Amino acid sequence: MNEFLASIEVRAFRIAELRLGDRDSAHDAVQDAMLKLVTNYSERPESEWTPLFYRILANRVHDFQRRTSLHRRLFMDERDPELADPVESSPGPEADNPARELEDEALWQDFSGALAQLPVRQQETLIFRLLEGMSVTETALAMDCSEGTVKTQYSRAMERMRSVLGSHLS
Amino acid sequence: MTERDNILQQRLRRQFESRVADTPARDRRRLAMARHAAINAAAEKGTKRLGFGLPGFSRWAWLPAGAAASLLVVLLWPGEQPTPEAPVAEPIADEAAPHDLEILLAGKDLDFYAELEFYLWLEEEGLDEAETMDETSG
Repeated sequence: MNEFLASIEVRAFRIAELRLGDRDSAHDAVQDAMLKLVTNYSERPESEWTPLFYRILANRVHDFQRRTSLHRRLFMDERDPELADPVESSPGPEADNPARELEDEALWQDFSGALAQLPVRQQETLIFRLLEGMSVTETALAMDCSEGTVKTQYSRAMERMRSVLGSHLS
Repeated sequence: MTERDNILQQRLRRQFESRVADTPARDRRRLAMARHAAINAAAEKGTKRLGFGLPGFSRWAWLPAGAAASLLVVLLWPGEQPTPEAPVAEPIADEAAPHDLEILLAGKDLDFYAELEFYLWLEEEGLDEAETMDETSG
């Protein structure tokens, strides 16, 4: 279990951060998910750990989002300033193609903004299928829904992304 | 899935992987600490469950043993011994003694009852005497 968590924790943190827009909340969500997985599901087959972990994490992220949505609405979007730090997010000197790196960075920023506007289920399918590369079956297990629902939600989410991010592909 | 979709997915994945790889050391340390805390907390909880961390030895394993022990205690508990019922003082039946109600209803002189024992003795003697007389005359 320790090795499994070590292999997944950074990716999980980045996903939580992407969805929550806040570093500390992302850490808290990942820590809660770790604790719950270890406590409740360590006896389950290892093949189920990944989708189970992401299901727990998605629930925790959803809890955090509900908790902070009112705050955000009242006090505008107070995302972690480090996330939008242009120095930190800019390509380093070792980048092979700085222009391309910058373009990818702009793509990522637009993707992050568009992702936050999607319904929760579409966000989850995009993250699990697109970023984590999970299969339809694993995604269905992580989302606790049918494979048909995964395909439908993913198709709609990609349609939305095409319309928002199309300019980056021209 | 169009070619544009594939390109879009590849670029987004590349960006994500780049961010994972560039995760600051302080975040990695914090994640590692959270992982150890989760593992330790689960281990402590497992000990508290009295499973002692043995594989397949969960807290439920104690259920039959606990039930058996409880049953044994109930069966062997001395508790309150059933006390033999105290002997009820039976009224001494004296067939010869007249009851109070009979005395009052008889309307006889109370002196008769004062001499009752004598009359009973006399009756007994008289009967014996009559029996003796019958035997001698017969």
